[in-house]
Amino acid sequence: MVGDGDVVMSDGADRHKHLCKVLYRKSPFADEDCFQPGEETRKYLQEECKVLVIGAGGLGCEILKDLALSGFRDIHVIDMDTIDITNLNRQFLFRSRDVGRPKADVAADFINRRCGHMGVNVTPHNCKIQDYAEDFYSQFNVIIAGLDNITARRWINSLLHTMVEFDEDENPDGSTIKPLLDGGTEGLKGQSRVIIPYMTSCFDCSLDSFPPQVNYPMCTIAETPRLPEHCIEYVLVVEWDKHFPNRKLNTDSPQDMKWIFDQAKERADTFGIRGVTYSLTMGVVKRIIPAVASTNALIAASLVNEALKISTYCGPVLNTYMMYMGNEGVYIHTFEYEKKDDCLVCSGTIRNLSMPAATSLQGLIDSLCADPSLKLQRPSITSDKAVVFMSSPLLRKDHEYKLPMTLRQLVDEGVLGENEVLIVTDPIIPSKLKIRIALT
Amino acid sequence: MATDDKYDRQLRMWGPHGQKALAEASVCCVGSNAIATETLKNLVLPGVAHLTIVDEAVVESADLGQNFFVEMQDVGHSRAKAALKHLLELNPDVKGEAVQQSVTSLLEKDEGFFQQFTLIIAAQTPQRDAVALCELCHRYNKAFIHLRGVGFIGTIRLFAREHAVIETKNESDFGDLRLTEPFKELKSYAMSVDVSSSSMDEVKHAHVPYVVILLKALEQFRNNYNGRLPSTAEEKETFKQFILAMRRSDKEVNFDEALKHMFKAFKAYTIDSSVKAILDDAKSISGHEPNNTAFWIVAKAVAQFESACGRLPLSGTLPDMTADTDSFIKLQSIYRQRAEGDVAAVRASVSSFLSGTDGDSGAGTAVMGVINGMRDINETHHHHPTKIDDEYIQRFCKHAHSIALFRYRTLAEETKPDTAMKDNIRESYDEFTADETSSEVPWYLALAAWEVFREEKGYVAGAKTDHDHSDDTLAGDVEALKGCARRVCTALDLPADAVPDKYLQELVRYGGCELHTTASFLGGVASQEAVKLITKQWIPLQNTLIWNGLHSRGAVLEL
Ligand SMILES: [Zn+2]
Repeated sequence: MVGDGDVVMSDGADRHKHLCKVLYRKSPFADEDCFQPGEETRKYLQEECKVLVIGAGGLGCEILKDLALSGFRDIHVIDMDTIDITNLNRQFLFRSRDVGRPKADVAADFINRRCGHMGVNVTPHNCKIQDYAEDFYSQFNVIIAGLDNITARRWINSLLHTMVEFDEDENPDGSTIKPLLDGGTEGLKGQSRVIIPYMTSCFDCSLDSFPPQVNYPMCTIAETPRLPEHCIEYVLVVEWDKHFPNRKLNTDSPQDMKWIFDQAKERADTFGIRGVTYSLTMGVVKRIIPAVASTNALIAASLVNEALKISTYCGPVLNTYMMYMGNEGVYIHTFEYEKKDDCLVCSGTIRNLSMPAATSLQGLIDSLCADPSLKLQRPSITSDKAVVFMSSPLLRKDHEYKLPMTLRQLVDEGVLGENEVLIVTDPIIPSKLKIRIALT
Repeated sequence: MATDDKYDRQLRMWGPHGQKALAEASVCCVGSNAIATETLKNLVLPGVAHLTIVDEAVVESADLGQNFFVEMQDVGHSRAKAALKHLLELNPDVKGEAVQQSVTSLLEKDEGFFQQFTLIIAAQTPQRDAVALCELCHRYNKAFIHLRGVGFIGTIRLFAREHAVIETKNESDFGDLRLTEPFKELKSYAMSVDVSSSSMDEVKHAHVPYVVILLKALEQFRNNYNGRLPSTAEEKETFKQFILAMRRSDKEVNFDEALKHMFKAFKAYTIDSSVKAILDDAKSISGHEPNNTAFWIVAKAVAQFESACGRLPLSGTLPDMTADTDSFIKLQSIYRQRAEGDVAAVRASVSSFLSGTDGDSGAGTAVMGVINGMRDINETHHHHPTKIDDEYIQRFCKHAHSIALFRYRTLAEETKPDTAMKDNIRESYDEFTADETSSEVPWYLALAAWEVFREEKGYVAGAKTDHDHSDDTLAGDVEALKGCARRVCTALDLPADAVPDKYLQELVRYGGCELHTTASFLGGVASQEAVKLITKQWIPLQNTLIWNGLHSRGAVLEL
């Protein structure tokens, strides 16, 4: 009678014998005002607490397992990817027969099969996080992100901040604050952090600490290539479009990848450059980050460990960042990541920019995209008076004529006021950025 | 999919030779609890060859709540067998065996059993058995990892009698450019580049590799200063002016790079003292030494090379730098060819050692035995390799300047601490008294007391009952544990009250409970270390990690 409610209830305590020790007993380290050892706390964890896991990859599979074995029952997972063979060395809920199936479905099925008898129920969502809005995310008590890209992490971080409601005294309403536990790994290194919207630093506060993506200068790859990577990059950005003007490269297609490799090899040979291999070609084209099971396991464990403490108060919560480095002995560094005073997402402040009056609107947009602490992609700008620029494909046409105009001209035309607060939005994040431009 | 290799993402880290080492490794795990299965999961996934799980336990209902690799149907059956079955499902490449016996009885009846493994992991093994296992690992020259976790706290302890690493993957690598001691081909190439000639066009001039610029500036400096290297601030400034004099405009990035790397021209060629010590060790090792691994044979050849040439084999890699294709390729091939020459010299020495023609090893009569360069020949097989994989020799030479050797204290030695170990603990304790968040040593001491408690009382502190959680019931254990802690601290020459009460209260609170997240964290760290030990890549933990999951802090303590 697996999954029968009565069986679960009568047998539950026995299965959670280990967990109940920390939930039922006092701790000199836990916050006395918050932690209530006993039945109530266990019930909250098992019957009320709802967790969302973003990503069912290397971290996600581990997080789901860790949640199911830490007393959480109502678990949701969201991932748009399907399973690839190269996932199998670490994404342990998947088998070779699952290749091609949606990650969220397969992961949820596996956990439900193995842990359903404890009342665990994982609900899969095969879609992008951006497909859902506030009403979806507001149902959760904790959100855990095991993502491999900055864009998605920025988006969810920003959304959770926009969801916080403030009363008339500017105090946040606690029930609208959703803690975000964010993890990442690369090789033998990883980090986990706790983000409590507006209370701690947020993901965007650390945006400029991420190294910019490696981009080889065009003149190097075209004229003075030295490395095998230069040859591969050249084929990727120049030759592919030349040979297949109407076809997008499919990085999952062995034929396409073989073509890139062959061309890169040929180019390397003419220059006398060694080291172009198929594996390197894939690494460069797909920007592959090396990954192993062990690092994902320890970072995921740390995230769920924090989820358990943050949900039950049975221990202090990580403040706010833990870095794990296994590449030279073992080094763990735990510290409070400082809030950034002018963070686009969590500071609420107006960013003051000063720009020559002769700067074009295009120039302003370019500088917003280039700013490493903003990293915008397609900003739209509105002023009190008018729409300055819209980046959406439908509306862009109506505003393109303004791109070459200087800021001075735009002021003169009444599109924007000097020193006026402008609102910048970008599909990359739900937050609104306020900027004030002083013309010089 | 563009590849059918499921190991692609990890091959990018440890290469085919690392994968081969894993695919030949046989791992034994004592214990089938959550810490054990979480560690083994991360070794089955990347593809170790063989797994042996030793445990007499049967699956209980409580296991279901925190051990992912047992199922409802397994309750009442051997936990080792159940765990093995579920673990092997993860990767068809891995084979395994479950031994339903207690480690205590195995140690008594058949200690030779443990000889067959590459690595032995002890998960939640009580101190007494862990010490005995570690002694066996010392005798058989096996790597050993001891794991322990209770509540939010855990420790990971590594042991290896001798662990040699050639690929330490030090990211702050200084590079092996030989700027201050250029070999003939390098020097003549640099001198042939006429940077000051007006016939060199603008583009070419802005693409002269910085290595050439530094070599030319240094040559000029040495001509003016009796062949010395720049040492005073004034001399360094003069050197800088030599570089700037060659520069045509401040838009030349290659000259920026030359200025940035200028310091490399100030440092005379040296061999790191730890590398020197290994080479000195290698010289005294003859073909009859029991620990005669590929590492020592090649190290001996490299030591011979170093005695003759005064330097190590050239690493032969040129970092990327601004340059035109021709100059870069030319320079790259100069370094590479020289490195190949050095490898050839080392290879010749290795061959003469192996064939016994070097006059002192007498290994010509060695019995058959081929090693691939990654596996130690342990003392029970007194044979001598007849062949060493050439790629191994090449890798050794390439990384000769950063090889490393580690020798660990046994757990038995840890129980009878010497002055050095006491000093390490003392130092960490002093850090703790200065700032509570800067050291985790109280947890180490508290756990040592916790082990004493278990040994003396026959049960784990706080675990007398699973149902009564009141303070009154637990108070007795807290008092007893305080007594144990006082003895532990006194024996280490620390104040008797070095462990604050709250640490001991917290351990009693846990009542021996095993939290899944702690198990999974420890398993993650342990499997990372296991991979390092098996592949002999990266520097392993030395030698104990204390994990404090309450505050998500970890600290390394050398015991
Ligand atoms: Zn922020």
